[in-house]
Amino acid sequence: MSRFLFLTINGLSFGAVYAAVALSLVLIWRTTRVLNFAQGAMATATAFIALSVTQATGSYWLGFAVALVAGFLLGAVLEIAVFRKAETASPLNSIVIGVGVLIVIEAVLGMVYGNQNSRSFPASFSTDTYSIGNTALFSDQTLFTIGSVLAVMLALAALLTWTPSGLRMRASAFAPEVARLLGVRVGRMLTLGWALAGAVGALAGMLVIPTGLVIIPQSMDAVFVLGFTGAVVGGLDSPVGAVVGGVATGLVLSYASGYLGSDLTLVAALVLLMVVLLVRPSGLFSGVQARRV
Amino acid sequence: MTALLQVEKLSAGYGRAPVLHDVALCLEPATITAVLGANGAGKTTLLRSLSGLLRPTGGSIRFGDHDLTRVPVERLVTLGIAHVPEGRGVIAELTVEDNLRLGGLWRKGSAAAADSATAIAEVYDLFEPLAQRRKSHGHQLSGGERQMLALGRALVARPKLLLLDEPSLGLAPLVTAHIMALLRTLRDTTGLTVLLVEQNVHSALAIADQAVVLALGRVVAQGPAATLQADENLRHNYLGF
Repeated sequence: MSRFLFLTINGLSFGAVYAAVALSLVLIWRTTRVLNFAQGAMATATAFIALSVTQATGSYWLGFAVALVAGFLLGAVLEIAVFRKAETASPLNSIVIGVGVLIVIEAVLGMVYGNQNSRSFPASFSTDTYSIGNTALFSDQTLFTIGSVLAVMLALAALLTWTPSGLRMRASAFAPEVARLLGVRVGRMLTLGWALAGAVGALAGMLVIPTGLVIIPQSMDAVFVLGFTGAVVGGLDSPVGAVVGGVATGLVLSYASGYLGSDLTLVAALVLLMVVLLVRPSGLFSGVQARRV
Repeated sequence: MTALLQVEKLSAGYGRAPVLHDVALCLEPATITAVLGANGAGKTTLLRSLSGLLRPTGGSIRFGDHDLTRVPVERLVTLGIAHVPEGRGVIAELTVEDNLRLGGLWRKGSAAAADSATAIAEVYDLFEPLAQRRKSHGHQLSGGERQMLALGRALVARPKLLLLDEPSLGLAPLVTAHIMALLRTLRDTTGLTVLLVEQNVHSALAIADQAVVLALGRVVAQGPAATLQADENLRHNYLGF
C-alpha cells in the first residue's frame, strides 16, 4: 500500500511537470497552430540562465525568478522574430522551423556552457524524502513541484477566464478574424500566448532538472516528449486537457516503472499514446465542434 | 449633407483574380443601403474591402476624415464601424455573455467598463432570447439566436456604421422580419447607418433607403430602393423576380 502511495505521489510530481510542458504546448498550439518543438530546449536555456544568475549573485531564488522572466521574453521574441512568419504557412513549415530553433538553442548552449555534465543544478527545496516505515514517500521538492505547478495552472485559468486580456486571448484563438473586427490586436495576443508558454515551460525545467536529470543542453528533450504525450492525450486544443493528460502520463509512467520495471517506462508512454489516439484521436478533452448552420 | 462613407473607383480581388471593378458608393448618415446581386457578384468582397479584411487593389474609401484603405482592421471599431461577417461570426466556444463583453473591450479609459455594461444591458433588452441564455455557449444557440448575438455584439460598440453580411441567411422568415424591423428602428432612433448585403431582395428593399446592384463585380444599378424595385428590366435581369 505504501508503495502504491509512493508511486502515486511520484507520478503526480512528474505528471505536474509534464502537465506544465503540455500546457505550454497547448497555449501556443490553440492560438497559432504551431507545435513548438523548441519548447524543451527553451526551458533548458532558461535553466542555464538561472544557473548563471545564481552563481553570479549567490541567490537561488533570484535565478529562479530570472528563469521565468527569461522564458517569458524568449517566448515573445521567438514568436515575433521567427514563428510569426510560420503561423500563416503550412503546418509542416512550423515544425521544421521548430526543430531548427531547437537545434540552434542546444548548439548555442553547448558553445557557451559545454556539452558535458559538469555542473550540479540545485533543487528549490530539500530532496530528502519522508518515509513511512522503510518506504520513501515524498520530499519537500515533490510538494513544491506539485504546489507550484498547481498554482500556475490556477493563475492561468483565472487569467483566461476572468480578465479582459484572457477573453481577448480566447477570442484570438477561436476566431482571429472576428476578434480583429472587434478591435482585438490578435498579433499581440499570440505573442502573449507564446510568452506565457515560455514562462510555464521555464518553470517545468526549473522543477524537473534537479530531480533525476543533469543539466546539459539536451536536458529537457525527454521531458518534452512526455509533455507532448500528455498534450496529445488531453487534446492539443484544451488547457484543461493538457493538465489532465500531463498528470495521467506521469501516473501511468510511475506505475509502469514501479510495477513492471523501469525499462518499460517509455513503452508505457507509447502504449498510452496509442490507446488514446485509437480510441479518441482528438484527445480526451477536445472541444465541442460547433454546429455549422 | 456630407456622406458618412464615400467609396470611389474601388477595385479588389483575391490573388490575381480581380473581383470588384471601379465600385462607387456613397452612404448618407442614418440611411440603410442594400447591396444586392447574385452569388459571386462581389457583395461579400465589397464588405471585406471596406473593413480592411481584404486590402483593395485600387480606389479610395473615405469614412469621415479617415482613409479606410490605411486603417488597420483592429482600429475600425474605434472609428465607429462594426462589421458582422457572413456566417454570423459568433464565437461558438464562448458564452453569450463573453461574446457580448468582447464587443466592448476596445473601449479605453475609466468609464469604459461602465459604458460597455450599459450597452450590453441594452442589447439584452433588444434581444429577449439572449438575456435568457447568457451562460450558453455559441454552439448551443439556434441560427436566429446566433444572428441576434452577432448583431447585438456589434451594437455593444454603438457603431455609426454597421456592415451586415447576409443576416437572413438560413433564418426563419419571422426572425428575418424581426431583424429587419430592428435595423429600421435603430436607423430612426439612433441614426445608425447600415450597409446591408442581402440575398433576400424583398426583405432588403423593404427597409432600404437606397440600393446598389452588383453584377460580376461592377455596379450595374444604384438608386432609391423604391425606384429599383419598380424597374422591371432590372428585376428580371439582375434580381431574379
